[in-house]
Amino acid sequence: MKRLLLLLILILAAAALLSLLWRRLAGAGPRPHPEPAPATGAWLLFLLPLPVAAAAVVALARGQFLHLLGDSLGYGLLLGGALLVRRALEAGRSLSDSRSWKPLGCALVGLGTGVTAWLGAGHGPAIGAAFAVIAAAGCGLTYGFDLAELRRPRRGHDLGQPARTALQQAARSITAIEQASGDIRQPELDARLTRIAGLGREILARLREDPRDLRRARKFLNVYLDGVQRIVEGYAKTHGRAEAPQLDERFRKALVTVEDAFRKQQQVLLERDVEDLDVQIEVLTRQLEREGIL
Amino acid sequence: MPDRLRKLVGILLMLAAIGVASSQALLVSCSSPADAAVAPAGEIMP
Repeated sequence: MKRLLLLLILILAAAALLSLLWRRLAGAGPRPHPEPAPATGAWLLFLLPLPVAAAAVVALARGQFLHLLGDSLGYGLLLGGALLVRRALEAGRSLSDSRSWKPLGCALVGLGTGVTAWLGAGHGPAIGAAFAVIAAAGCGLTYGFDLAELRRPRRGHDLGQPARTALQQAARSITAIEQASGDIRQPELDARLTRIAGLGREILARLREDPRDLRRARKFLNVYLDGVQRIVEGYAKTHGRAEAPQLDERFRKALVTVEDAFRKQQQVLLERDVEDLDVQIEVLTRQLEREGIL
Repeated sequence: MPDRLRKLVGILLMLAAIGVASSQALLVSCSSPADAAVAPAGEIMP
């Protein structure tokens, strides 16, 4: 019992140290990134099961087949769950994959914990199930279950292949813009590029939700994003090599224009939504009047 | 439930479940069979 408590204290201390280190690293980067990162990363899900991996190695070395099986299976499930949760968290930011994997990830984390407790730690199946439920609930509370997301019919799946390809290409362009902006050591330009990337992602999210807007945004997808990506990458490559104030100024002006264009594009899509809502309200009002409710 | 409280409770639950299960699995693997097993009845220990 003493050893268990000692181990738990060690794990907690290691988790606290890693958390502190993570915050330091995130805060002391070469540039502050204004895009809000998820409040709780999935690193805890990778950190906590590490003793299970160690237990599997020890069981292998000592020839304990049942423990090896339980620990390996448990660790595999825990790792799979952690990867799915991390993928869901990343998808929430990058929109490269709109499907939410959190419920499945949390279920795998619960299952892995249950298997570990049952076959690895030697508890009974009932206690293993209790471990599983608690772990899945904890994962769900921490990262969010997104059950509503699963129930909601996905209009994004109605996208045709060309539209899907265009959206994926656009998402890649935005990612490339963000990566290139990392090489530009000017806070003002960096902040502007971050805003542009954020606007681009919002527009992509809207397009994914309602593919009817794709026609309106074709210019945005085909011309603006591609052009911005090329300009930003080119500037990131050249500005570090030579001082060129004129180039800086022109690049700044180009970014202002691009940001305005993105805002206008977003506004156009929002207005379309407002028009749709207006029509729906009108139809509903007429229906209610016809039925004598109003 | 406020967002921070929800996350705190979630992290505590994960620590309690995953942390305890994994550390117990490691302990069980590390503990020698002589510690874990009960000595057979009638066997006289030196």
